[in-house]
Amino acid sequence: MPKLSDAAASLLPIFIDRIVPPDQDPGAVEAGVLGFIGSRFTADPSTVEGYEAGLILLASRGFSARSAEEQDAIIGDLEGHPAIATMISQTLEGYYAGPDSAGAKAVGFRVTA
Amino acid sequence: MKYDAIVVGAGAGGGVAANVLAQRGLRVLILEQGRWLNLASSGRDHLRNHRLSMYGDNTGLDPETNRRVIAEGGLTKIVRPYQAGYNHNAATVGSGTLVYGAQAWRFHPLDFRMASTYGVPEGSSLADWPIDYDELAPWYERVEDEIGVAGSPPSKEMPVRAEYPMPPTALPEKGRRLQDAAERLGWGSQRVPLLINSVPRHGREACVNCQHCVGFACPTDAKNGTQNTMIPRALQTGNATLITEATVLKVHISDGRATGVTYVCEGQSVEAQAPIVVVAAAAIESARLLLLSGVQSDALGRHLQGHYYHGAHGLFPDKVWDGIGPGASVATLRFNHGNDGIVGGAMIADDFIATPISFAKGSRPKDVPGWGQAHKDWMRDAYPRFITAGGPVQEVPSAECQVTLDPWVKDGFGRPVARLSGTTHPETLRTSTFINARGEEWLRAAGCETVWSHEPALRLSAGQHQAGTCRMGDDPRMSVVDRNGGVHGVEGLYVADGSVHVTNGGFNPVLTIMALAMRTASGIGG
Repeated sequence: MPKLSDAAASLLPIFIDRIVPPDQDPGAVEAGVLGFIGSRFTADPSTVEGYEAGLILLASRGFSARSAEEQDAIIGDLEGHPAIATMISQTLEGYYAGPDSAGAKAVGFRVTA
Repeated sequence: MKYDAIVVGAGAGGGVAANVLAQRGLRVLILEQGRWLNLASSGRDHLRNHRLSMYGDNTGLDPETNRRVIAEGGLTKIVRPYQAGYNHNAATVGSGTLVYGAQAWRFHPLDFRMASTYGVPEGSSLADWPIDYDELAPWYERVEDEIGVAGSPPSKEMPVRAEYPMPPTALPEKGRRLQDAAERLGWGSQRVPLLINSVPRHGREACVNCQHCVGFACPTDAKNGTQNTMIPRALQTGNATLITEATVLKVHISDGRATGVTYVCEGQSVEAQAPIVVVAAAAIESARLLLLSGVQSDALGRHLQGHYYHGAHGLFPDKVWDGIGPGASVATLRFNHGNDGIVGGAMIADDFIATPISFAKGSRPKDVPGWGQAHKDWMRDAYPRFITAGGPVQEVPSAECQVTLDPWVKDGFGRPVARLSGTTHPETLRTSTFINARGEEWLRAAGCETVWSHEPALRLSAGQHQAGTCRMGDDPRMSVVDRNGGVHGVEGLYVADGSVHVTNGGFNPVLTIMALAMRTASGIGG
């Protein structure tokens, strides 16, 4: 199975925590979104390529060394890029999908039966 | 193997037809491509269901062997069952009725007379049905009773009718506010009738108002589909045999008569004989099966339609979330017809409870960022204050919106897959835009501070409400089946699903599919 390069892998947690930042509710990393993305890699190995491309694109802008505000500006600049768009939408899926997800708890989606 | 009748597809139409035939003493073979499923086996995956199917679905077809081709704007693409454009229906015993929202609407009397009422817009294939509301009314009443509907008295726009067999389900706060607003606006409203037990009935429990109704199986089996009503009753007679995971390859037609089918189950090809074959595989597959079986009709596969769904979104100043499902609770029928300069209209109601991820993906106004702290703040703030009011917009059909056999792509059995092409008629967009505006008006009157909707775009529409491809009519040159559901020119071959709808009403179509199937099956051999 293809894997992310070390350079890309090190940026992924930083990226997803800008998409869903930690505050009074968990951020994406704490909510286990890396595990969700890993499951997408397993289900569809071609996904890895897109993440690699997206993350290397961020790296080329010096992403990891920037402040949170600057990182948001970089993502905002690139959000129309297909690889970045997929990374954003899958991060949201990992966070908000499921009756027991961190996102469901955060918005008050309570399951009674 | 010989039977008296073969029913292809155990969904809304097929399940009803099979039971009617079995109760009449006919030996019936029911063939269903899916399996028996329940909540335990279909689950509550928010990314794999019929409301949002990102990577598969909970009642799915095998994505490896099932494909369709979408031809759009000169481009074609191959799509898998869970992908946009496939227009999938649940593949399971009961089909969509296992996981539907169960809205139990009768069509309006004018829905059967669209061409007479509005004229025929240029380039459209708008037409009248060969039967009218009064013809279908007794069948509506029977399925409401036999399958089980909970509801309140209908709006004044609808003909007088008998009381529903069950009272309505619990009223959520969003519905209460819409009810008050409809009163103030002078529109009138009614509770959304649901094929759901609001009280224990027929040996099954009542609805517990959970948050996972549409898209998922019911935790108390209170949702009435054919899988827990008509099909078990058919099997109980001892006259019916249900074979699951069976794909029908072809209907055999000889000298203008249906003689049986060939189906594949567990890799074995089986020929089953019967003088009666009822096709109920939903509008896309039913049309494809008839095309593959050599049925000759210029109308076959044409007039593919569904429902445009847009609707208005709004935010109340305070929290309205109370988690009382299913969510579709109060409707106005004020705009189904009689809208100046507009063809038809739609029933408008509050939407089912949205899962948080569906809300995150689909419900954002344009000025709210799609990610980051602002998005997270918006999700927490808006979700409990949020409402959607919308409805199934009656489409103006086009003969060019159609199902054909793809010349190149084959399914797992080597047969051409369905190729979907064309779009709805542009008039549908005008109706849709009009309905969005009425939805916005309703939400403002209900107290929403922020209200928005999305502009509809011209596209092919089919979805789970797919209809029209085996149009019913008296003239064999213009239609595929006659007024009794029988295929013109082929004795013993019937269609009993949404395919036969000439137009698709401004309502969820399942009750009409069920009522027509009951009428068709009752008339077979009669």
